[in-house]
Amino acid sequence: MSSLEGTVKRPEGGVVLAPMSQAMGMLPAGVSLPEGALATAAGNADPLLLYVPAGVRIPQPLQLVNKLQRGRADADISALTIVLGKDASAKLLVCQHTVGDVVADTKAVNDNKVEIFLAEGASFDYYDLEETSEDTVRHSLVSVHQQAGSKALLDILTLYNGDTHNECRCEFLGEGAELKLYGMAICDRQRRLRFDTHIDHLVPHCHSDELYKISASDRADCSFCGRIKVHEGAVGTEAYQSSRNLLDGTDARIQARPELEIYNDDVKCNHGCAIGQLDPMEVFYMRTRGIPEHQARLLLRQAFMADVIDAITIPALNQRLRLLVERRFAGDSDAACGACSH
Amino acid sequence: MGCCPIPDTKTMMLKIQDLHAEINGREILRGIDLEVNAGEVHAIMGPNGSGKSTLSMVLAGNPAYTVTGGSATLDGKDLLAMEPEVRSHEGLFLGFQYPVEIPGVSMVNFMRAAINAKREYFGEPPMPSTEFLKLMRDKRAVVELDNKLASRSVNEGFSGGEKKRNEIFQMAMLEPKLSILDETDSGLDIDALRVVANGVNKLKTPDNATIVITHYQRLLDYIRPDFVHILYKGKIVMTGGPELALELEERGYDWIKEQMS
Repeated sequence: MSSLEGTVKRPEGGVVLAPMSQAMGMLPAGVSLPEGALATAAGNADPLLLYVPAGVRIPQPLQLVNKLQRGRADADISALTIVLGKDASAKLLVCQHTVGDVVADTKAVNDNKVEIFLAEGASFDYYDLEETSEDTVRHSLVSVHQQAGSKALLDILTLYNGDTHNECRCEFLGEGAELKLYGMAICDRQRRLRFDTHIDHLVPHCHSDELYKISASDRADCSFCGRIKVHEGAVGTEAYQSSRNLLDGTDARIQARPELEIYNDDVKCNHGCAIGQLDPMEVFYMRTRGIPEHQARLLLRQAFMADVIDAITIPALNQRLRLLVERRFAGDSDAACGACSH
Repeated sequence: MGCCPIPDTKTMMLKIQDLHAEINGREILRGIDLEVNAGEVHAIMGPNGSGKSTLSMVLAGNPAYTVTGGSATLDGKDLLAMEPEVRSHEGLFLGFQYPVEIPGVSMVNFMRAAINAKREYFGEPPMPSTEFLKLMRDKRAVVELDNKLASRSVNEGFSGGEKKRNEIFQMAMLEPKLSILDETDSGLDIDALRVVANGVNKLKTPDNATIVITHYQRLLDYIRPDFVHILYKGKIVMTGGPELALELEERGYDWIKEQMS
């Protein structure tokens, strides 16, 4: 059963937001979903479908709240299928929250699948903001299939979690498509987080830009594994990957594994990876100006995430996340996001 | 010194006695003695590796350095017992030889945090936003710092001259009692040097004091010192008036080395 709830009650302009079983009857005549979308539907009980017809540009960002249920005997499975027609555009924020009474010694286990199909020239920004809890185990798989000239932005933001495996799989199926893939995670205590990304450059002249940032402290255990595969014939590919990580304390762990597989010559690719601590000279410099050490560290941690936050294209989310990150680093343990209704 | 009688009303600001300090087990400061009174400008000169920057870092409280002996007081208070931020609140300012770049922290937020931390230390409420922005504007003028720089990240992408100007701008904002300017002249062309020196001179009052650390006499043409000290192998080996800087310029540091051997 999907536990996704939408804030868009009456989509307009032929936009459909409904469980797949109902949505099929709501699609305009002559419109069929991509094969992959139907395959996804077959594999899951009843995914939620967001369908944006060709040429429709939704100016306002959409928001969905995914309530991950505690106290279930089985895993809570939710699936979302997003289909954008030719030259359509939309922005979507999905907030992840764990709800229900805490049950001792049990975990809230969740499996979230998101499939995104972008037709020629479509543009879609997807934000996943996780503010769950330490008793949550979550697997999230976001897959993107991009046709020629389409633009996708995926931003996977983890503020609070338990044990999360975040996967992104992206494939370029048409030339001239662009992908921006961002990730941010702040993990403390004994939280675990794994980022896995896989980008397939199957066709020529596509551009992917990847930036992931992790801050791990206490006994947190995090990893980033990013693979970019430039297939034979995908000439003129541009692919960039950057993994930057901030490690605090002696017991936190971060592993990073950038992987580039390139099967032709005419490409521009690079990857960079760094794991480090706050620069003692930066901390000292701020202290000489009277800024107390804890505040200096707080400002520097926030600053570390600044470029990921700056990349957010929804102004309200940009501002809100700046505040949430500040609070998160300041040690605010209240994972309740005031903006989402429970 | 007989020609310059020091009035009895002088206020002792900084008093350093037999200061020893090391980094990574290597002793750099080997017994520094120095007294600075309100209204005075002191220049500390010396060859590379003599301990000039170490002295400034130790006084500002860089945790990388360990004080192994001696004392330092600011207005009679034990400076070495204070955290770096408290030293700042109590009126010490260090202008860095290599100002640190802090990507992602804007100058505005940086200065607001600094100003309000000081106010909190003295039990005052945060500065109202309009007052703060006016203060930024007024103090920027002291060193002709561009408004654009003030809205950027701290020192990020600043030229060498802009970084040094930014140091003096921060000094103007914080209104310290004692400023230590560590090789503020290094990397500056003549125009930038003049702007920076003018800034320092404008900020000079009978109630504050400045220690200028420099290799070259050139800066002292713009910032006139009352005293010049020569630091060599971790000790002040010679003290004089401005003429000492000129003599040093003429005869070079080998002259000191010969005298000391």
